[in-house]
Amino acid sequence: MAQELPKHRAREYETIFIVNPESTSDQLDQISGRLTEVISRLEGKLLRAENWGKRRLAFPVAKQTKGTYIYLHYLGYADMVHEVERNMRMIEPVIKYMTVKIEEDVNPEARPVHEEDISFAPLFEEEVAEDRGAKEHAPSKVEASSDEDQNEDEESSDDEDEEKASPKEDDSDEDEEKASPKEDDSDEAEDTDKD
Amino acid sequence: MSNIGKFDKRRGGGRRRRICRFCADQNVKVDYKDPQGLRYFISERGKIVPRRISGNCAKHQRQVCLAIKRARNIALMPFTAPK
Ligand SMILES: [Zn+2]
Repeated sequence: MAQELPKHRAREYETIFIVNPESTSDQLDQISGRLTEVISRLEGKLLRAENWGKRRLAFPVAKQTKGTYIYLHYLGYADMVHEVERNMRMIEPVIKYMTVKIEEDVNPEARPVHEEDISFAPLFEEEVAEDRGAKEHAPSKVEASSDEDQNEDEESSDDEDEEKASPKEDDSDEDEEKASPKEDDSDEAEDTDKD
Repeated sequence: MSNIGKFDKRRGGGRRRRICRFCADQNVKVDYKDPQGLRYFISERGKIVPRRISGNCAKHQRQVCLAIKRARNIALMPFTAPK
């Protein structure tokens, strides 16, 4: 096998970051522009950029209960994430970010860029977005019990039925829990917390 | 056996799932960006539901776990009981 030429093989990343909800759309544009510039300066390839709108945070971050979520999907080479995250630390309205590596070895040629995908266009209306966040912990009971058939046999379940917490959930080895917001260094995820 | 015909129906609540939903429907992917989809796998206190309750197979339970942890990391899901 020929030796690996860095420019032929890229890594694929997703970065989600949260911007202070009070930021103006000018500020958002500025942040988007700066990160876009970083990615292209390092010869990466921005594949998708989305503005998820203002959403309720599952827990307060930097004293905010809401935040504007921005999603970036891009290809990059060495130092890309380092540089993107370094910039994010310097951008004051960014209150949190997380980068996940999707693929180790991607041919950039095989990933064309579509202009409409990288517009940072809002993905959905803000109201909707907040609603979704708010409903996150609504009891699933409501949906599950309200509809369709009550007769059931456990065998055929590929359905939507509700999950209940077991009274003894603690003893499962499947659920490793940590209470701290600074958690989880899986090998594949390059996760970072900002203050 | 005759259950196959009811494959796509929803069932009443509270029952244990015996079949991994991700195995049953290959189109459904585990995605940390989709807290709505993952919310079935956390308890009301925000803890990850064990596999014996959720019915996930080992492979998909691992994916679900990782996805929930990622979602938590970026405040899409809670670490602990929401108020
Ligand atoms: Zn499975």
